[in-house]
Amino acid sequence: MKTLSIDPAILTFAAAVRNALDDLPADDIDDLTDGLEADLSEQAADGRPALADPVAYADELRAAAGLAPRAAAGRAPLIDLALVRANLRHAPEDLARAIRSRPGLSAIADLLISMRPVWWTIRGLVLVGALTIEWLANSAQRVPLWLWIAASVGVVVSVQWGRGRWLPTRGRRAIPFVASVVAVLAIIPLYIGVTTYVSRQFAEVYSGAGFEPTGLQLDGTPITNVFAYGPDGELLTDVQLFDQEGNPLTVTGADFGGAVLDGYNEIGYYALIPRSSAPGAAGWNIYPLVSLDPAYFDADGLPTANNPTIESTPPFERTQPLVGATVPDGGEK
Amino acid sequence: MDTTQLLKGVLDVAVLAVIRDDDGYGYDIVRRLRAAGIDEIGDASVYGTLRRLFAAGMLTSYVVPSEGGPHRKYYGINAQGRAMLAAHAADWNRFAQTMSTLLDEPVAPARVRKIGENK
Repeated sequence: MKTLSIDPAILTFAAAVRNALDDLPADDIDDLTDGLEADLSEQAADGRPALADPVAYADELRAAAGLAPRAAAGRAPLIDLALVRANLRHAPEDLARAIRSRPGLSAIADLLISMRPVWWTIRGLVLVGALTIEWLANSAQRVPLWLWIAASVGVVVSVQWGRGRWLPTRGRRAIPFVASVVAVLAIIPLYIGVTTYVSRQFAEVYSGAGFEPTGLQLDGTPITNVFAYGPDGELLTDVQLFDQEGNPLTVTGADFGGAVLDGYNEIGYYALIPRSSAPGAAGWNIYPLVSLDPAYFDADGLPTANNPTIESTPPFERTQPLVGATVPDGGEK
Repeated sequence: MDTTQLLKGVLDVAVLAVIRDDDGYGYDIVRRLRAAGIDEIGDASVYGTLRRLFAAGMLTSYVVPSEGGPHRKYYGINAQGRAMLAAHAADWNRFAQTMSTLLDEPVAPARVRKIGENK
């Protein structure tokens, strides 16, 4: 199209009119404005009124052409919600048809359908776990009884939902579906939570304050009694032992509050108490500790009140004398 | 009386009528309407009406390049447009007759007796 002879004002006006129609399809704009410049030029040559408001002009064109006003017309929505909804509504049947028309997929579908109860069980566990794992991981406790019960309830409810029971009439399908979606989404967070919890539990077992061994040990094995032999190889009694800091070297550990150190060894139950030369709490570093006499234990094999004591059995009656060592003799060197 | 509202109802027929014998382009048709005495209608209304009639299948359309100026879009009436024009013309004549009769010879209102009024 040759435009050289057209008044620039007319070109501007026509462009503005097209601009005001730009919500319409391109074909409609062309239909409405084809030849507009020619018409406007001729009208100007006729001495008709000057160009007015291009938007009002476009509105008049649009109204006369039977097209909706711009404000009401709006743009076609990017997503046709009604179409999406209809497709979603038919999706289950479409999918079922697609699967059933293929023997291999159909067999897999049957297998998965038989395995649905497994998923219902997992769903119940995952939902209860997801609700409690953060608390559990922070509490660093062993799994409490009520949580086991809650998990059982969760499994029962989830399975009942899977069977279509225990559901209100409204949400009969939505509730199990939402539960499944939430469970699927919760699996990975739950896995992370459980991993954290388990690793913390292990850390607790191996380094936690409650499990840290106290008192004397040899290569990690607790020492229950100490036997000292003199330079002449004879067993010493009432030997007081201290460490390099001057702390009493006790088999019980510094914070031991009990009156009896007992436990089980390869022979059976044993119970040790401080020697009569230093009875009570101050005597735990005076060796060897004496044993409660098993002959006086009660029917359950446990110490009785005021159970008499005997000397603990030493590993050796005596050891070899040390050659060249100074043997104390009557308190003198 | 402002005839703009009246014209809006019959603009389709008026446009079909002015191109009944000769095809015309946009402003040409505006000019014919004005020559016929229809002066109150904006040119945009005429162009929009042409487009609507064309979309409804009453008109044919073709573009003619012009020497040294912008091209022109011509409209012509087709068989469907003629049929509609004839139908509307008949309707209009009947309606105009009715209106003319009504306006020229007002119908006497039915007399209604008031309460207590004797015959």
